[in-house]
Amino acid sequence: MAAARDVRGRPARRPLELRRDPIPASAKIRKILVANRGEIAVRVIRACRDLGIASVAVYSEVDRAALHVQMADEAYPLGAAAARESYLNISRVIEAARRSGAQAVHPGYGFLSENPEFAQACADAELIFIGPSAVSMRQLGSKTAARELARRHDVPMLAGAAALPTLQEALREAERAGFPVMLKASAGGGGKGMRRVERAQDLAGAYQLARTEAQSAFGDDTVYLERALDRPRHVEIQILADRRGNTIYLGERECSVQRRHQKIIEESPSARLSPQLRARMGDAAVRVARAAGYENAGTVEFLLDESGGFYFLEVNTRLQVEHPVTEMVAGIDMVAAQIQIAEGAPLPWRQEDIQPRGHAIECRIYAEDPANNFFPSPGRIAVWETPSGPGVRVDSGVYEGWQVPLEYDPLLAKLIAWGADRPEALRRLRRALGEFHISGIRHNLPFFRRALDDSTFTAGDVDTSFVERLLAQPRDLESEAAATRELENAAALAGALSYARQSQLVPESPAPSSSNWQQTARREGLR
Amino acid sequence: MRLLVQIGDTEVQLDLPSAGANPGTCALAGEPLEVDLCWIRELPGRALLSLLIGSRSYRLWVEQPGPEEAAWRVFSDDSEVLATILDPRRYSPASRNTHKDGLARITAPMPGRVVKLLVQAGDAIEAHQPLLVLEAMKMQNEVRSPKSGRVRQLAVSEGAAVSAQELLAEIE
Repeated sequence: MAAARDVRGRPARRPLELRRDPIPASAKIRKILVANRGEIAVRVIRACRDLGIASVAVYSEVDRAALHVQMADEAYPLGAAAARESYLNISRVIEAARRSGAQAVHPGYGFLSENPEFAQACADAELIFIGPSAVSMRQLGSKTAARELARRHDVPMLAGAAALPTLQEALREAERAGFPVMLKASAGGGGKGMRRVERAQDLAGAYQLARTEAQSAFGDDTVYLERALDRPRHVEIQILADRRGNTIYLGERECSVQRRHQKIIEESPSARLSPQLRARMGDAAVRVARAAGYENAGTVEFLLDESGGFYFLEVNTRLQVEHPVTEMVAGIDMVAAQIQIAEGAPLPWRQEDIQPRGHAIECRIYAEDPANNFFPSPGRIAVWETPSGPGVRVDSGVYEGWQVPLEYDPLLAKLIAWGADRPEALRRLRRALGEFHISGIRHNLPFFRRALDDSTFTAGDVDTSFVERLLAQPRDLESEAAATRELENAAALAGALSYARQSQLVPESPAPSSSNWQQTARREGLR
Repeated sequence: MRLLVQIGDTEVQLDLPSAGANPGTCALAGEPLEVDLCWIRELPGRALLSLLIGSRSYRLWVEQPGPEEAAWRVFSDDSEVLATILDPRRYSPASRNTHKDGLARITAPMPGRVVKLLVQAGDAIEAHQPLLVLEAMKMQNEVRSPKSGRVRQLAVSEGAAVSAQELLAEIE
C-alpha cells in the first residue's frame, strides 16, 4: 500500500507531537488557570481541552458573559472592570489559582504576561508559570538590557545608544548614530514613547515628550535611541526553548502592515526572505534566547532594510497575538508546545525537523471605526457571521449578542487563511473576508478588503509605511468596494422589499422566524 | 406598490406586486424582473434575505436607516450599497426636522412638483393638517404638518418643481 501523500504529492508528514514519556506523572499539568480574556483565553482553553487538561477562567465584572467564561471548565470572578482591579491584579489571580487547585497559569499576551513580578508570584505560590522565568523576563524585558545582551552575542543592530539620562547625551549619541533617529522607551511597547526625529534641532522637544510619555505609560522614563531606517520591514522570529537548553526557531513572521506601530496583518513566511537570510536571522534569534537562558515560546523582533540587512529590535517574552500564522505553516500547536515545555518535556524537534509548508496570513479584526480614525467602537454585536471552508481559521473571543466592553483592547477575532503558496492564501483570505459579516458595531473589515485589493500588498512589497500610504489614497473608507450596476439593482430591490415588509404592504412570504424586524419598525416608528 | 429608490446619484423606479406570497414579477425602471424572495433571518433593525433575480442568486443583509439616516444599508459579500426609499403614498414630514426651538422644517420627501398650496403664511394649523399637494411619480400626495402651530413661511409656490430634501414650509 502506498504511503500517505499530501496535496502536492509529497509523503505526508507524521503529526508533530511532543513525547510526554520522559515526564514523571507528578509533573503533568492537570489544570491550568488562564489569566486573560478574549480570543487568547479561548485559544488557550481549546489547547487545554485538546490535551485533556481542565481549564480555569477568570473574569472581571463586565466579562461574566464573555466567551472564555462560558468555555472554561471553571470560572472565578476577579473584581471590577478596570484591568488593575481584575486582569492586572496579581494577588487576585494567584488567589483564584489557589482556590481552583490549578497547577499552572497561562498568561496569554498583554495584561500580566510580561510582568516578572507575576512570574515570580506564581513561582512563590508553587504554580508553574507557562512562559520564561522571571530572571530571563527581566533580562529581556528591558529593551536597553536586551540590546546590550544581543550586542555581546554579535547580533546585528542599528547604531544607537542605551539609556540616555540627559539631553546632552542624547544629542551626542544622535549625532554619532546619524539623523534621522528613533527615540524609544526602554520599558516600551505598542509605539508609546516612540518618536522619530529628523533633525538635531527637533531632538530636545522629542526627547522630553518621549520621556513624559514613557513615564506615564510604563512608570519608567528611560529612553534610548537608534538610527532610523527609511521604509523598514518588520520581521520577527518565533523561537521555542525547552528547559534543557534546546532552542529552535519556527521561521519568521512578516509584520510590516502596521498602524501607529500596531500590527494589523501578519504573514509567514515573509514574501521577501531568502533561505539564507532566514537561517542567519533564526541563528541570531536563537543566540539571544540562549544567552538569556530563555525557556518556552518567545519572539525576537528585527527590522529589515531594503538591502537585506537585519537589525535586532527587541524580544517579546510571551506568546504573540499573531502566533497562528506560524502554527499554520509549521504544523505545530504552539500553546500545546508551551504547556508541555512547562511540564519539563524536551523539545521533540531539532531545527532540521522544522520545514515550513505553505503560506499563512492573519488579519486582526478590531472593534474600531475606519471612517473615524480607527477610534474604538464598543457596543453590542448584532450580527456575527464568521467565514469557514478550506484553509480558513477564525480565533474569536466574541459571539452574536455580546456587548464589547470599552475597558479592554478592542480585538474581536483573528482571521487566518492558509494556502499552499501566497497567492492561494491571498485568494482564500479574500474569499473569507467576503463571508465575514459583522453588524451593530463598527469594525475594520472594510480596511482589509481594501488592503487585499491593493497591488503593493498582493505583490508582497510592503514596508511599515504601507497603511499610511494606503489610507492617504483618496477613497472613502466607510464605504466598501464599489458595487456593480447589477448589484445596485439587487440592493434597490432588497431595500424596497424590506421597506415594504416593514410597511406591511406586501403579504408575508414564508419566513423562518417571528418578525422582530417588524416589531422594531413599529417601535421606532415608520419612516 | 410603486417606490422610488435612490442609490448614489441615480434613481430607479420599482414596482412591487401588491399581492402574492412572493414578489413574483417586479418592474425595475419599467423592465419586468422575475424575483423570488426568501427571508433567512430577521433581527431588530436588520434582516438577511436571499433574492433570486431570474436565476441569479444574491445573499444580502439589509439594515434599516438609523435615527439620523435616510438610507437603507444593503451588504453583499464585499460591498455596501446605500439605498434611500421614497414612497409617494405614505410619508409624514419627519419629526427629526423639528428643532428644539419648536420650528419644524417641512422638506420634500422626493423630487416632484407642487400642485396646490392649501395654507398661507401666518395661518394657524392643526397637527396632521394638509399643507400642500405634491405630485411625484404621477401620484398626488398631501404633505401634512407634523405639529400644530402657525405657518411661518411657505418656501415654494404652486407649479414649482422641487428636488428631494428641498424646503417646502416652516411651521412654528
